[in-house]
Amino acid sequence: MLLEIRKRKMNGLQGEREEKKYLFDRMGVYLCLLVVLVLATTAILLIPFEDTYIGESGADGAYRTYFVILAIGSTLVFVLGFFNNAMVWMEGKVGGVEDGAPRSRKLAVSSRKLLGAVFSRDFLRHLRIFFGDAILTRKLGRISKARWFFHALILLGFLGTFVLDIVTVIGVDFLQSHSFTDPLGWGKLWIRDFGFEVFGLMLLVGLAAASVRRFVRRPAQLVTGGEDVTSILFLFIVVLSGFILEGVSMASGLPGHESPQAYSFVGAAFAQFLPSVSPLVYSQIWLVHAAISFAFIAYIPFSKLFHIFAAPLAIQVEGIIKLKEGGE
Amino acid sequence: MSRADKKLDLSPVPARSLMAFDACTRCGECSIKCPVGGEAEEKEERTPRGKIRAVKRIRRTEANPIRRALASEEKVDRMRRELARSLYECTVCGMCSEACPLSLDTIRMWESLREAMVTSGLGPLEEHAALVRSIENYGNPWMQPSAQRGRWARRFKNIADATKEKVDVLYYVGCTASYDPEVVRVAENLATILHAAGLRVGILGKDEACCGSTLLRLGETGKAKKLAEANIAMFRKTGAGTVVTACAGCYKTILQDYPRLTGEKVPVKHTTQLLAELIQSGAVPLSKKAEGVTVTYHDPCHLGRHTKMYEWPRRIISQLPGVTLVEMERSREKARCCGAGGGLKTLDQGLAMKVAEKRMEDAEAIGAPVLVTSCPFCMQTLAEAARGRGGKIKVVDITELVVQRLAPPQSP
Repeated sequence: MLLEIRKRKMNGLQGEREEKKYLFDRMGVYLCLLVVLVLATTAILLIPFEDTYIGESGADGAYRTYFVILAIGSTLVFVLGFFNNAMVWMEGKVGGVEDGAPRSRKLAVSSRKLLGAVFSRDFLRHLRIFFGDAILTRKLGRISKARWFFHALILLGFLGTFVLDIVTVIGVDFLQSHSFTDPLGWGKLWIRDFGFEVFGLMLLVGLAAASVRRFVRRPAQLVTGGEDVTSILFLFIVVLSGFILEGVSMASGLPGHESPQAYSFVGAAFAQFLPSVSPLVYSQIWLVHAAISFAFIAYIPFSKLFHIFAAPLAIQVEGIIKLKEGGE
Repeated sequence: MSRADKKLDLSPVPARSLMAFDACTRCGECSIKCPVGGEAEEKEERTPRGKIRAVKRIRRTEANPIRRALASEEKVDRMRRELARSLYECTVCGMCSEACPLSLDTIRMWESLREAMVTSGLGPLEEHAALVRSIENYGNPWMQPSAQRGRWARRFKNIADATKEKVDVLYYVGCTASYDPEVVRVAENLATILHAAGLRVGILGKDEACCGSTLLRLGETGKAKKLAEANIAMFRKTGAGTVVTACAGCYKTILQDYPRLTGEKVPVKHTTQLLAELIQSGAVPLSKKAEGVTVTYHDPCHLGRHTKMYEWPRRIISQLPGVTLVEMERSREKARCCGAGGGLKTLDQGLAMKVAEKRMEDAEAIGAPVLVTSCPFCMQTLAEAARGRGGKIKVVDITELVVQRLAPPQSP
């Protein structure tokens, strides 16, 4: 009898500990999500937006407010969409976590395991897997050199514009560096003009090749559904609207956009066919481009474009499992 | 069960497989190389891409109240049943993983999704019911009495009863080689070769149970786990240091699935490894005057893509006198499946034979009169396909080739 009571007590304690563990994990996961959301929002709100893009065109301050609202909205949708996808993954089995455990516990454990495995003695091996298989997509290169090349154009174009965007925000808005704001400054010519032109053009060429393959050549292995069309179109519109914006600014000779044509060669080419507009119309086009870009960011977690994040993650996880041999 | 409760249970699927669904770029590399959905018959819903899309579509419908309200119950139910059918119309050959530019582990994906079909009440299919019942009741998928399991070994003096005699090497025969009159030759050949090499091995005879491979491939993991535990206990009881098997499916199961299911590793070798080592060490006396023959080798999926055993069988063939190996255009990692695996042959014999015929076309294209393999199930299926194509190519197990080249026993 005493033994039975003791056993029950032990079971109760164990159950209590489990409960605490679950609660701790759940709180941890949702706290992390909240921190990410708050940090992202704060970061956007903290950007001074003194000179970014339209600042030089003398646009209405309301446009900047719309911009900030759109930026925060799309970031929140993106983060929540990403989180939702991760929670769907956590419906499955996670090694070392008992069946039937809450998804938050699985997410907490798998995140800890993933970070622990990457930041370990095998760090360099994981880095090699990341760059070799996820970024350089070596296997695709073995399958088809042409496809690898055009995929690399899209991938690097996408990554490049993303990185340059961050550099520009730091250079222009935070540091307010003359190099970035002076029409003939190094940052303005090589990053804001030439850098964006190159990566944007890479994206454009890659997307054009992907479209020709999917819609014109139509190889048997491709099945084109609504999601495929939307993804390609969306990317196309984002890039094209960016070049149109630049072309319009150059055609209009707006202050802050008097870049030498050699650095803004794509924008200059677009400018040949675009009309000259007032600063207000330019600001409106700018806002439309921003809205499209933010809608695109928000769309990513709900589309096949989510592979941009899921594929490197999956490759890394497979790499860890292969190294460890036999886990889940 | 109410409509809200009726959901795909994805809990048996590893989280990394669910992540891989999102990582899939739908490039279609797997689809064109899929032996059942791309090569034998062009059916998108059977291809890996088609199955991933179906799972995601069902999952979205179930999770989204608006979508669920718009879709009729019959429609969602039909989607689930069609998915289950597509998942079982697959040989789990792993070609999709090989073809995938991201090298996603699709083998684990399909096997765990089948397990999900079982826990969701959608699998295995009706056609598999007899197979599962037979394994449960008879310990083998062929409805044969266990007492007959070791009958083939009676005439071999070097085959011991491992339940009564201590042996170093335990030969795990497997169900097909124990009972199928066409395949039992694999076991007999092995016994003959080991006898020539002066090696005595033990078998479990009537105490040998199915390895559980069939159950695992059908998603019946719980039942397979029981078999795995019972088999491991039997292996332990014999005290044998190594388990050897000639069946590619049994080998994969004991090597990869037993540790996953039970947490215990079993020291297991496929016979190709054992024979290659024996031949290399000179323990197997080979005839010096052997008739020349050109052969091609078919890599069984369970031995190739699943366990990466490409070299051992080729080492055997290269050491056999008079044997010339020519490789088919698709060999090793890129080898086409024979069509028999994953329960497909039981589900749809016609489809399995279409897949097998494609493999025979590969062999015919290379012009070798003999196709060698090292899996009883592949041999059985490819031999059937070869007969259907006029018997131009002879299909043999690798042990047959070795037996044909054994030196005649020396008179005392």
